[in-house]
Amino acid sequence: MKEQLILFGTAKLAKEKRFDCKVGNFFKLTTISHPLIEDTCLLQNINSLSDVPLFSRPTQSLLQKWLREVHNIDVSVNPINDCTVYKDGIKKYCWDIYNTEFEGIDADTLIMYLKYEEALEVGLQEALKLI
Amino acid sequence: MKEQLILFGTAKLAKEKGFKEDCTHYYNNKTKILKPFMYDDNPKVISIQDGTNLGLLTIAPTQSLLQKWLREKYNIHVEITWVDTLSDIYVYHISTTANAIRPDSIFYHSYEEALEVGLQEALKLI
Repeated sequence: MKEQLILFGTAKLAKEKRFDCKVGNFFKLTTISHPLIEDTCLLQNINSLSDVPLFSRPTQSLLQKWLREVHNIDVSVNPINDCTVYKDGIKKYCWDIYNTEFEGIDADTLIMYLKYEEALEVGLQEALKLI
Repeated sequence: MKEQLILFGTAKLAKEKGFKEDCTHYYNNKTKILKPFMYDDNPKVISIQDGTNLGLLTIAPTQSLLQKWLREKYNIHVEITWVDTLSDIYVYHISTTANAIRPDSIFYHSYEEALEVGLQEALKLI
């Protein structure tokens, strides 16, 4: 069992929003035939490295923490236990976003995900778009 | 900014409940001091196999890895809610397939503090 790392789309968005904590995983854009490489390195501020197409790849929980502490945006994932939407017996999840400025919930609770990590990934992407 | 590692008390409880996932840090049971398996700035993940004799060591996962372990292995969900968006007040919720547990009137002033207590309470359910 491992910590869930974010996907490339989220990593790209996080870099655009100036996420730059020290991490040990990254994406690298290379050639047309092999455009995307996943790699590891010593802990460093990868998104600060200039002139190289590298993207920090933090765990979902580190990005979640950065959003909470730097931007006051809280992303949470909740299991759906409501019997009215939980008829098939399969547990599902939805994400919520709370923010001190908007004070509202921007979640689309109609969209449910089969995996916790899948819901969190979408929540993180939506939260990054608020910055 | 770093991932939050669990405290010694939680780590000890997790060990008692059979937590044996790969981790970067451990506690010495006698001194209760947290140490990385390799070197400080770049702690290495150590594979903890079943049957590995940890002896006087207790492995220290991140809060999120323990949270994931509880969710995937025992179907116990520990979630944190930001109660007051103007001041930092958090509560934890524990839900299982059987029921949902929410502590009465216990508020925490940091996300990590609320999650730590939530994880401890969730471990006690196993």
